Amino acid sequence: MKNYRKTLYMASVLFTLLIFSCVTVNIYFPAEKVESVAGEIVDDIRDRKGGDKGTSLKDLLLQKTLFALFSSNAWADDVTAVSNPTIRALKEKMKARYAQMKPYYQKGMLSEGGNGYVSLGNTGGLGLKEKRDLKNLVDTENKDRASLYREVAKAMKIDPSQINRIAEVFAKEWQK
Amino acid sequence: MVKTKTKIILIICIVAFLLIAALGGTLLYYYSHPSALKEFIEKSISRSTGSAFSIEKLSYSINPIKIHAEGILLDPGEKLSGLHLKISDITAEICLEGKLGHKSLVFEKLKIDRFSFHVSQKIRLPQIRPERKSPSTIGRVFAKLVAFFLFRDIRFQQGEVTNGEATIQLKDQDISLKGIHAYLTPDHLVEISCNTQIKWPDKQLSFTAPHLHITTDQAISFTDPEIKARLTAKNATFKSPDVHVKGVAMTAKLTYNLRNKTLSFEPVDLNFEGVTLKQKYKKKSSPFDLYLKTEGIFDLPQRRLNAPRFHLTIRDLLKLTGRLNAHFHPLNPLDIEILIDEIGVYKKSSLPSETRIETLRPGNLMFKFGLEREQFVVKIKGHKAHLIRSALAFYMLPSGWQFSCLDSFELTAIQKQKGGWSFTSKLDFQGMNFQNADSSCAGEDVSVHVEADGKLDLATPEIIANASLKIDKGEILYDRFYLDLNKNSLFSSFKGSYNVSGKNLQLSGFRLGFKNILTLDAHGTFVHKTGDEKLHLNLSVPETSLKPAFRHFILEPFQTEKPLLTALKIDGKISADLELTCKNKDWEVSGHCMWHDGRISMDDKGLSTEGIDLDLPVWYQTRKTETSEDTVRGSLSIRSMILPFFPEQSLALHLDAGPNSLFVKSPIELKVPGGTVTLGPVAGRDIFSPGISLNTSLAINSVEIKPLVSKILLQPVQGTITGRLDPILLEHNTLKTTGVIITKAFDGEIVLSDLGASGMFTSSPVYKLSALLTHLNLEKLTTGTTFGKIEGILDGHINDIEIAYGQPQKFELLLETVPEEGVRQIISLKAVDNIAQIGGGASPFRGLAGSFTVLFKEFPYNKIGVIASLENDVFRINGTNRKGGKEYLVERGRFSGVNIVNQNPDNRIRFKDMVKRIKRVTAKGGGPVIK
Repeated sequence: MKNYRKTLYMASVLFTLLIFSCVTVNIYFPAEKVESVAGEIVDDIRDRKGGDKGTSLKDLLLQKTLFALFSSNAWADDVTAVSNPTIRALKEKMKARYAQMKPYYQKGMLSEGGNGYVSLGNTGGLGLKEKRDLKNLVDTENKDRASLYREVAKAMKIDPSQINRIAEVFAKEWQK
Repeated sequence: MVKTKTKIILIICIVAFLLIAALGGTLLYYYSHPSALKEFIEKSISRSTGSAFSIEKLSYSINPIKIHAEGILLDPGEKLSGLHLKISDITAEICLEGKLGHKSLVFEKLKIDRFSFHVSQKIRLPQIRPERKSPSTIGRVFAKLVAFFLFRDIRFQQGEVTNGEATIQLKDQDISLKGIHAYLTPDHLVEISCNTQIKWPDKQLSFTAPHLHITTDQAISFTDPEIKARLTAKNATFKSPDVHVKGVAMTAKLTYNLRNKTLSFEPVDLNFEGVTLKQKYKKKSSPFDLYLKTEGIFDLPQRRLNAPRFHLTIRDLLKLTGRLNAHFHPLNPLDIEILIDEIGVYKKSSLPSETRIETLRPGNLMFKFGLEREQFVVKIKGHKAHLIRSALAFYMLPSGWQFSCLDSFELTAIQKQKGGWSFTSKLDFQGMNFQNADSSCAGEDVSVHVEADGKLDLATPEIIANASLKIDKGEILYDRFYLDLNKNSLFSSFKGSYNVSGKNLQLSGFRLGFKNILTLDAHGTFVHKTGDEKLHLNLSVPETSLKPAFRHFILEPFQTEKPLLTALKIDGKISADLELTCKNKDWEVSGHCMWHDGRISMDDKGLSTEGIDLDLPVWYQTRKTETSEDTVRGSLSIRSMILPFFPEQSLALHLDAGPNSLFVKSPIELKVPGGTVTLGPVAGRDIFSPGISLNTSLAINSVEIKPLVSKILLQPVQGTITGRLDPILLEHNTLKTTGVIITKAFDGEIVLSDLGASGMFTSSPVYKLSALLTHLNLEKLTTGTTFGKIEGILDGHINDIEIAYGQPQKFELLLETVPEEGVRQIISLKAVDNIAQIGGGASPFRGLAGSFTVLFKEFPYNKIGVIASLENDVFRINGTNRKGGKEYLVERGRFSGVNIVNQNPDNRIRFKDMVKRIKRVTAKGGGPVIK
C-alpha cells in the first residue's frame, strides 16, 4: 500500500512538472527587423550614409540591375520603414546633439553602454560648468533615446516590456 | 690669660659631664621604669601634636634592643580634628651599627599588625612647599651631636605591616585603603598591596582597585637618590552615570629621584576593558577596550608633568600618538597641553583576521586644558588636522566621496563660575575639492568659513548659540545646478537656543542664501521629544529680482533638455512668505509666493505678457484629508497679455489654495478674434505630486470663424464656432475632454470631438481629436483654393487624429460626396489632376488624355469617395466606390466626365512622399501638368 502511494506521489509530481514545462509565454520580438530599423535610425543620426561614396562604377551597375529586378520588393521595404513624426523629430534633435557630443566621444569622456544609453566616462580636465553641460547633454540624450525606443516599440507593435531588448539592439549600432 | 682659658675649658667639661651624666641617668631611669617612659612618650607626643596620644602597653629591652607596644591610639584634638590612628601591635628589633660618629640605627625587624588610619576633611594636610628653609644653627648642632653620638642614618632591614586600613575623607572625595600589607625584605625590597576605593559622592563617581600592588625594584636607601618601584593594579572598575569601565589593569615602572624630587614613569601601561558609555534615556553603548601607554616625568617641585610620547588605543576604532605637558602651578593649578602627532583609524576589512589602519598625521592638533583666572578653559586648535579624512575614516560622511583641502580650526570653551560654559569656535577649509562617487555633486577650490559662539547653561540646561557660514571662492555643482561662488557666494547664519531637557530648539534667526540670487529667512521652534515631535517655522524670501534665480535654477540647468527656455524672457520681483509646520511626521506648508511687476515674453512664438502681479497661495500637506472649507486666498492680474490667436487683453482672477490643491473658482473670460471663450472654473488637485490632476471646462459661444482663421487661411471663411468641453481632465500627463466643438461653415458642420492629448509635460506631447463632417458645400470649400474647384456636398469623418511635433501622426479619413437636389456635382480639371496626383502620384492627363484638357475645364461626377489612413508614417489611400472590380476615387457622371481609378489596392505612400505631393498640388499657381 505504501509503495502504491509513493508511486502515486511521484507520478503526480512528474505530471505537474510536465504541465508547467508545457507553458510557454510568447512575446513577439522581431529581432532582425529591429536590427534593421536601429541601423537605419542610427545611420541617419550619425550621418553614416556618406560611406557609399567610394562605390565603384561596376558596383553601381550591379545595384541598378538588382534594383530593376527587385524594385517592387525594395519599394515595399521602403514603405514599411519605422517612422512617425515623433521618431523623426527625435532623430533630428539627436542628430543636432551628436555634433555637440562628438568631441567628447573622441576624448573618451563619453561611452556607449550595452544598454543602449550613453554614459559619462572620465571627465577629468573639464571644469565644473563644462561637466554640468556635458551631463545635461547626456541626460537629455538618454531621455530622447528612451522616448525613441518607446516609439519604435509602439510603431512596430512590440510589447512595452521588450523595450530594453530594443535598447540593447540599438546599443550595437551606437557602439559602431 | 692661660688661666682664664683653662677655667673656661674646665667649666665646659664639667657642664658636658653633667649633661651626659644627666642624660645617662635619665636613660637609666626610663630603662628601669617603662611605665614612666610610656607616660613620657604619651605626654610628649600629645603636647607636640595637640592630640590625645596613648599607649596601652609598652615593653622593651636593651640587649638586644627590642621594643613592643600595644594599643597605640592617637585621637585628634581640636586643631587636628580629622586625624585618627590606631595601631594594635607594633614590634621593633633595633641595633646600632658602625663606629662612633658613623653609627646607623638599624631596624632589623619591624612589625606592625592591625592598624587603622583615618583622616577627615577637617584636617589640614601638609602642603608641598617648593622651597625649603635651611635649618637653624642649634638644630644643625643638635643634628650633628645625634649623628656623632647616636646614629647618622636610619636603615630598615626587614619590616612587615599587616591588616592595615586607611580612610581619607576630603572635601569632595573619599579614599579608602583596606587590607594594607607591606613587606620590607632583607634585600631592602618593599612590597605593598591593598584594596583601594575612591569615591566622589557628589558626582556619583567611584574607582575601585581590589588588587593594588607596589614593589620596589631595588633596595631603598636614604643615601641612594632613586627609589624604583613597580605599580600594578588588576580588575579595577570605574563607574559614573555616563561611563562604566571594568577590567582596568595598570602596570607602571616608577622612579622617584630623592635629590631632584622627580617621579618618572617608563612606561605606564593602562588597560581599560569593556568600557561602556551611557547617556541619559539612551541605551548603553557597545563595550570597547581602551589601552594607554605612556612614559614621562613628573617634577614635583616645579609641578610639571611631561609625557614626550603617549599611545592611546581604542580597540578596533582609533589609535592616537602624541605628547602631553601639564603644569600644576599654585596660581593656575591646572594647565594641560596635549599635542596629537598621529591618528590611526581602524578600517573595516573583508577578511576578519586582517586589520587595516589608516594613518593620519595632523600638522598641528592641540588640546589644552587649564585654569585661567579661576575659570576652567579648554582649547582645541588644529591646522592641517585632516578633519575631513578623519570624518570619512569614521564613516561620518557618505562613502565614495573624495575630498582634499587644508583645514584649520580653533575652539575655546570656558567654564563659568556658576557651572555654565561659554565657547567660541572657528573652522576654515581652504582650496577644498570634493566630489561624490558619480560626480553629480562636486566642488573645486572652495573656501568654507564657519564661526560659532555661544553659551551652555548646565543648570537649565540650555545652549545659546550664534553661527555663521560662508562659502566663497571656487565653484560647486549639484546635479544640474552650477554656481560660481566667486560671484554668488553661499552664506548662512544661525541664532538660536536649545533646551536640552525640553529638547526644544528656538530658532530666532536663520538665513540661507546665494549672493545676488536668493535669500531665505526663517525663525521658529523645533521640539523633538519622543512621541511629540513638532516643528513650526516662518519662512520668508525677501523681495528679489527673478531674473538671476531663473537663470541659475531653471534656464541653465534645463535649457539643453528644453531649448524653448532659451527664447523665454522673464523678469520681475519675487518674494515669499510661508509657514512650515510638522507634527508627528505630518508636514504642512502654507502661505504666499509673490511675483510683482512680472514679464514673460517669447518673441518668436508671439507670446508676451506684461505687468504680472501674482499672489500665489500655497497649501501643501502630507496628511490626507477631505476637502477643506478653509482656503488661502491669492490673485493673479496681468496688465497686458498677447497670446497666439488671442488679441491683446488684460486678465484678473482670484486664486484659492486648499490642501494640495489650487482653484480658480470664477470662470475666466478670454477674448478671441470673433468672440469670447469661457474657461473654468479650474480645479487643480494633488498639484505637488506626479499624479497632478486638473479639472476645468471650456465654453465657446458663437465665435465667428472669419477673424479667427484670418491669419491661417487665405480665403475668408464665414461661419461660427460653438461648443462646450466639460469636463476637461488632465491626469497623469493625459488630457481628456467630454463634449464637442461645432463649427458651422460651408453650409454644413464640422463637429470636433474626443479632443485630448497624451504626454502633456514630456518632450513629445501628442494631441488627439476626431472630426465629423456633415453637409459641407464643396463649392464654398474649394473656390479660390489652389486645389481646384469642386461642386457638391461632402460628408465624412476624420477619426483618431494624432498630431505630434505639429505634424499628423495618425488618422483615419473618409470623405464622400452625397447627391443633393439642386446642387451640381462638378469637378474642375485642376482638382481632378490634384486628386489623381495625391492618390496615385501621377497626373492622369498624359498622352492622349492630355488632349481633353484643351476641350474641357470641368467635368461632372457621380461620386467622389476617398478613404485614407496614416499610421507609422505610411499613408494608405483608396476609393470608397467599388464597381465592376474597380476602385474609384472619382466616378464620372452618367454621360461624361473623368474616372479616377485606383489601380493599386495596396496604395501605400511614405509620409515624406505624400508631403511632396501635397506641397506640389497646393503650391500657389500650381495646376495640372499637361503632357
